[in-house]
Amino acid sequence: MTELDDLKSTWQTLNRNLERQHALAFHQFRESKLTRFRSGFRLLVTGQIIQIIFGALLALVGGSFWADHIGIPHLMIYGIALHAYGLMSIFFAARDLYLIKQLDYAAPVLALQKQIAELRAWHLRSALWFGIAWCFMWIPILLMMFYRLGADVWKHHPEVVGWFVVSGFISLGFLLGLVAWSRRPGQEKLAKNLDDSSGGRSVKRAQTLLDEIARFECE
Amino acid sequence: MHATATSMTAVTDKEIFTRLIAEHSGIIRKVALGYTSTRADREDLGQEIILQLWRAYPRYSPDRPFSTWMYRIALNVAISLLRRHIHPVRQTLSLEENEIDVMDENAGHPEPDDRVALLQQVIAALRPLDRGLLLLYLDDHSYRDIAVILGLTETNVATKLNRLKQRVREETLKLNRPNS
Repeated sequence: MTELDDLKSTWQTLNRNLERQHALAFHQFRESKLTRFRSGFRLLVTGQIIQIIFGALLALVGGSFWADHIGIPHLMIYGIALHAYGLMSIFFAARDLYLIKQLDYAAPVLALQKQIAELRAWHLRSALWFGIAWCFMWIPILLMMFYRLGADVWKHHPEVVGWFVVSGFISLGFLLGLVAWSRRPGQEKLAKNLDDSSGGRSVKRAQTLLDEIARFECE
Repeated sequence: MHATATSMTAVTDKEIFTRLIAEHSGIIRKVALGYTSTRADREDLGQEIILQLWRAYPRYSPDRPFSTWMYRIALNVAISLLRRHIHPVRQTLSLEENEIDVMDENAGHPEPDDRVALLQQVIAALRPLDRGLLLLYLDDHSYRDIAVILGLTETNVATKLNRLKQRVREETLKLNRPNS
């Protein structure tokens, strides 16, 4: 019967042969390659930088709007909502970037893998919350645009604003209802499609990874 | 003047780094062998490990053994890449794809095919973290070293290795069953 120790010699043989057969040019890397940023997080970093720029623009537009309309409550609400959303975008993206910067590949394997899994889970969950927020955020943006075009919808047609808010709740209800319904037995295909489109599947994957690390620690 | 001095330091650092990498290139090779199935993937992983090593190098303290530091980074990169990019069906270690001749010319005798197949089977069946544990064990690291690299306790390492040994025995039985 083969023991694990017996496999050591097989492993060493394979390693020696690999070294001899195609001595990988690991040390022949070029200067240009060393400065190239090829981390797997580069897409995430790019996304967060775009989010910060987008958030800054929203905060600027929202901030200047409410500052220009101090004393007119409904216009201030539009501006403050947009301003707050912009700041939230900046904060979440900045936190992601900070966490990515904190990743230390020289940390013990378990510690770093846990950090990565937590970062992914948090990032994807926050993306889901942004999606939910958009169920309502279109309202102040639309109302601001109408106002810029000369129509103060809130003042002249408050019932329209009411319908917008109701629509926001309906969208939210529809979204949450769909998610809940997809969890019922027999709806696996719908659940998979929803998860794929919302990033939920990735959240589950990140969670699975965290569970796997926890099991590895405890076993 | 200052710029020249800085540039000279950078060159020296790079030279030291290159020398250290060359001395310990076996670590990269072994980790790449354990976590990839094709030569192309192995080279990609090797490059990615070196990039991360270089990025982390300014924070490396010579008080710590270089090999331990290097193993941590190599395993972290390999595990992360395996989870992110490599398709599950390619997570297996195929020696045919690896194009590695199992004949050891230095030893003068071939490794028995069943032994190679068993090693292949065992590695392929393991989860990424367990794979790291196995690679360190096969590379003759002490329990203490393995614990430091992985961030586990020595007791935990011992327990896991005992389970791994049991698993190898079971896999051997499975392999032998069709012949018996």
